[in-house]
Amino acid sequence: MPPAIFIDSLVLSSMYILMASGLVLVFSIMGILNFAHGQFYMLGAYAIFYLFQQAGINFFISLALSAAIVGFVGILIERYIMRPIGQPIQAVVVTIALISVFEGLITLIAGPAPHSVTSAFPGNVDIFGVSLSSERLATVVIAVILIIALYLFIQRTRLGLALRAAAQQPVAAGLFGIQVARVSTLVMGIGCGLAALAGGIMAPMFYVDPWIGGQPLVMALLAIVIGGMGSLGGAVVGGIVLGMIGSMLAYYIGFWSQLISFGIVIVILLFRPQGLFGQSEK
Amino acid sequence: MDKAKLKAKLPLILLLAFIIFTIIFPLIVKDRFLLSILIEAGVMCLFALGFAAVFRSGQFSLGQAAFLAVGGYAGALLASKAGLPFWLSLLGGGLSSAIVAFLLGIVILRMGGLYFSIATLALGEIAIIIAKNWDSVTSGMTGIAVDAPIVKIGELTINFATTKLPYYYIIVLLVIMAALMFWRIDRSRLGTVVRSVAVAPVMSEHAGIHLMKYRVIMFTLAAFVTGVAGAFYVYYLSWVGPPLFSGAQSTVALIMCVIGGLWSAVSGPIIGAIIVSYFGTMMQIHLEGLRPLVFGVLVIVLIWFMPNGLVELQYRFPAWVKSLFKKKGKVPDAPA
Repeated sequence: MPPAIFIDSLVLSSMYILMASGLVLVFSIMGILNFAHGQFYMLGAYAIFYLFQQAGINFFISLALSAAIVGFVGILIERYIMRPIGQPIQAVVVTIALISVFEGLITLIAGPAPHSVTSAFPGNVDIFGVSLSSERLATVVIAVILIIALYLFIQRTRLGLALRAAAQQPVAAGLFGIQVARVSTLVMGIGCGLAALAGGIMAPMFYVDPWIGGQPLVMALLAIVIGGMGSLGGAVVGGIVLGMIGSMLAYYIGFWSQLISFGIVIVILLFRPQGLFGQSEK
Repeated sequence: MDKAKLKAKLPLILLLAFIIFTIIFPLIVKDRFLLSILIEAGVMCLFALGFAAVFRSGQFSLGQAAFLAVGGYAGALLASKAGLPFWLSLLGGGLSSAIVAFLLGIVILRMGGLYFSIATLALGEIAIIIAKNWDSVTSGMTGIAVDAPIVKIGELTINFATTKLPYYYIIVLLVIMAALMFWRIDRSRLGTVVRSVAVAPVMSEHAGIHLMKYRVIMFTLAAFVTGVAGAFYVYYLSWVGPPLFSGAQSTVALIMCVIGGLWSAVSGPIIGAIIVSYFGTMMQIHLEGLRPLVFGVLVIVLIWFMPNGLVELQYRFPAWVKSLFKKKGKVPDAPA
């Protein structure tokens, strides 16, 4: 297997993992799947396009800015749309409606034509005599740092503790003085920010148009069920499995690899209906 | 007849009036474009009814478009390759969709809840990938062309190619049949059991109900109706191809059901489907690029004000009318 394919699969995996961990976080607290998650990815990519490409701001600063902006949009949506509506099915339909809201809005602002973003890390690097695209390597490194930071935030900080408590026992957490509503607003912000970061680091490698959010969302959904609902580790494993299948099988057997990705999800769910690392559901 | 009896009969009278209205409507309003919107709305009605049926057994399918595709392709193949007549192709589309749903259902319905949703989402994607790539059967993106049927009933010959009117009456008939079936099921013992499976799976199992049996029954029935809708749709468009069955279609069914009202088995999905497809097409024409934005905002606003769907209006509207006739400034005493 050529090393370029391997690094490609790592790039895909890191995109799926970033998307999936945001989805899992939101799901574990709010109990709903955010179907507009892919559109936050798209917003992040557009933020990079405007901040980094058009305004010429440093790549890392524009990444942070795009995460902050999109995260804030997510917070507004949670606070002023999802929370007043409350019921889960209605909230899910609202997220589906948000897909067309965001796609329509971006089409109005930026037009339907695809844009390309120049790479922040041009050229190649040689590692052990193998030449690899430094852009792809940088993407993987950024993704790994982000995932470790997220893990440390959830496991080692007081806020992360509050988050885990609110996910496990909302009522009990409330009794212990955790403001569950505030935690869920924050989680929505973090989740959307993660999606925006994923979109931002992927933007230079792919093109940017209003409809790029669909595919990452589907893959992230598959990743979280492969790994097991509600666990960050599961999202990581699921993302790696899908990324490897997606690029390596595509290299060997072409387009039908997509069929295998979806088929494998169903097979895994058959033998472990709770996902590879999940707790079984009632 | 006294007042109470009249009040009890009112829904039935209104329903009959509505059915008669739909039958004579195209004879009065001769608008070909409106007719084509209504035919598509009818297909969407069947589609939404199927989604609602699965939902009522407590499962949340995100891949109903796959069954639309199976029915559509089966109908198209039966019509163009096997040369079956119109009615048999419709039935064949429904049956093949039901068989696929039954075989898949006994496997994937074992995973409950969200895992089932994601598995159906994957199935929807698989259906599109197969449709796009299995060239020898589905002809890939070119799709399959289907001739407009010519039906002979005794002396009468109906050529579907010249007028859209027969399509309209057939889809109205199909929607009425599907609605009656799901309404009867909802009122029967089966409906009660299905509801208990949805609301309290553990309790139902302890009461001796085989959960899988009822989930599979509803899933298969829904797929049959969806498959017939798919075959009809293909006949109506005289073409079948992958773009008809995108994953977005499955979420449209969900939007229709929630806007109409998910807690009624029949009227909610039908009302939602008609309203969403009518206004959706109208917006497509008059707003063009603005359409997705306006559509999304309208859906959110509707859900905001009527979380239980438009069906809720039947309770809200009389209360609102009554409140108009009440004297102002007179606040009723709070109950003790």
